[in-house]
Amino acid sequence: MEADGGSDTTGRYLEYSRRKFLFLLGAAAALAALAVVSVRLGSTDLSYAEIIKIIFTGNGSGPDGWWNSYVVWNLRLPIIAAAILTGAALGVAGAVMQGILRNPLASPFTLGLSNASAFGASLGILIGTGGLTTGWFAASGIGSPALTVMLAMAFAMIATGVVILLVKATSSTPETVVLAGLAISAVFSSGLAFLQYIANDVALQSMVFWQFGSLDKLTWDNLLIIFAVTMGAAVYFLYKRLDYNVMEAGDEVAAGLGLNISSTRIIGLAVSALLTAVVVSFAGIIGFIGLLAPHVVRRLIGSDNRYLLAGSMIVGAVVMLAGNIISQHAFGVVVPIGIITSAIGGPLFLYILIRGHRRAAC
Amino acid sequence: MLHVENVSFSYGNREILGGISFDAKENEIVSILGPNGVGKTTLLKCLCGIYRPGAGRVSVGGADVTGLAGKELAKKIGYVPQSAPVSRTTVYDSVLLGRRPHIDMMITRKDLDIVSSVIDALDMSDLALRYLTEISGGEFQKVQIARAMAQEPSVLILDEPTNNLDLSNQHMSMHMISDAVRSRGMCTLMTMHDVNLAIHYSDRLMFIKDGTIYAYGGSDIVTEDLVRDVYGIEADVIEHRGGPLVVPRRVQPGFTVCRHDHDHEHPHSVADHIHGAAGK
Repeated sequence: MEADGGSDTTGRYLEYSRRKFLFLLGAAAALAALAVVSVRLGSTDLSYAEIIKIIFTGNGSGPDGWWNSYVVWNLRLPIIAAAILTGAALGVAGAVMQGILRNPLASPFTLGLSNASAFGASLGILIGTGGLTTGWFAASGIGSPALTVMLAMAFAMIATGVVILLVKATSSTPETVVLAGLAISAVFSSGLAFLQYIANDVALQSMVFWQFGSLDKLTWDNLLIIFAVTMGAAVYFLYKRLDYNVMEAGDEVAAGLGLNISSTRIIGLAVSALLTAVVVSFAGIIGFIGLLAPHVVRRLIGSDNRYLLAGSMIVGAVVMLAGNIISQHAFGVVVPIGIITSAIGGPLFLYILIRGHRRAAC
Repeated sequence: MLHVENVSFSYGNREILGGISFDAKENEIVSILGPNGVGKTTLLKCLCGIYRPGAGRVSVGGADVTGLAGKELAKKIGYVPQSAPVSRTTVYDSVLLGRRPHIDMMITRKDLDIVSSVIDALDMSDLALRYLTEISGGEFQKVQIARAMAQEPSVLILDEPTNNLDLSNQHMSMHMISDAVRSRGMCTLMTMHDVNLAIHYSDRLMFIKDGTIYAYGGSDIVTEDLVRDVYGIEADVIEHRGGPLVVPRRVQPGFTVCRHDHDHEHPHSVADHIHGAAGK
């Protein structure tokens, strides 16, 4: 009798799991459809037959063939790939952080990474453009866009390192991590304001534009780096998926199940921070994807990391791709995608806050 | 089944447990009692590896588990903490977590069947696919116990399993624990505050005072002297349906309450030890 009941319960669970898997397939199909739609959007009118030919042969047909090929390979495909990769990276980083910190408002940006990388990038711009009004750097003119990327990444990782050190010193409670992130954020925000204050007009303009977050500036070389880091991090996260499930049950339960909480939390934090740092350093600040994508997936199929991590990657990519279509084509002029994601993510953040407050009050 | 030998634990220079030794058999329920802050929870955490004892030895079924690595220890000792966060996880997935020490990479059909049988045995199959956010406090407590059972440990450790439950749910939970652990032949240790509830459902009682075992044995060890020495209050211990029943006397005005120093886990709880001086 018990065995029969057991297999019935197992059967219902397997059916439930199949539905979650179907959700992932559906989301992946939506992503593919959006990518297919995106590749045709633009002022140069290209048929799907022409686009497919260009993708597989590298050359377009007719007198405008070289231009059509340029449009597909250098304008449209990079930005589609950039949207998919950055969305997937930020989505999965957010899902991991919310899980291991057990905080629905945690995201790579809660750690102060955005302000730290903005500070690093601004420093790079200031040095690279000779953007100081006076002094040695103003005359030197040293640096390059690579310097901006490297400093943005370096400062994001410095911020993460400081947070991790604080976590280790205070027994790594989830609350400590979020509060430490806020403190780090405030410090770099102050530093950023100082850099903007001493910068000349050209450097100041570049700094502000960098902070908007944009996919236009990403090259295939940049995308290759983002792809490699995203895949490496995703493989690690998927390997740890069951441990992240255990973490969501609370530290004492996790310890009782034999999990090394401190190392799981710190390494998970470091890998998701690295992933975010790589994306942010190339694309600038693209807020709220790390908050939005995991939240949507949790609402629809729950917190099981076996599905949540992949789901957050796919939904993050879908949101970024949709946001990219809006940013490129909805306003007549190109609006940086960071503005679009923040416009969607800000209200969502408030919604989660209010919902959490209501639940706590019940 | 469980052999604990001279286990001690300190927070810095402050000794919490000073040489605890006892044995517990399979199919036996042992309740650990004593005032707040005497080290009951610390003892449980030392046994299940959350804290590393400063000295001493713990063995399960003859095998030394002192200093055993996380998952290996978790296969032998299951732990249900006093409280746990509620996440957007289904009851089934939450119980499935108990299989983690047994899973290397992939969840197998065997793991699912073990989880299903535990869920069915605890009469929770209707709740299996509900989220933890959608069930009651009593049901949540049941899920915590089910998870520890899916772990298939030889020893089950529960920290105040009736915490925050109403009278009816306290007895339902204790019934469920008693039935479930006995049907699986587990050795069960649990901390309790309600002495009468512990007497009713336990085979043996362990009273802790000042980090050491004050008394350990069957319900016959519960006397008025013991209650006075351990809890610092006057109580009548009367015979009721073949066992002792502790009926505390009304505390007189003027009793003082002081805090124990070593209530580390609950530094802000009222770790009260009532002194009878004023009432004498």
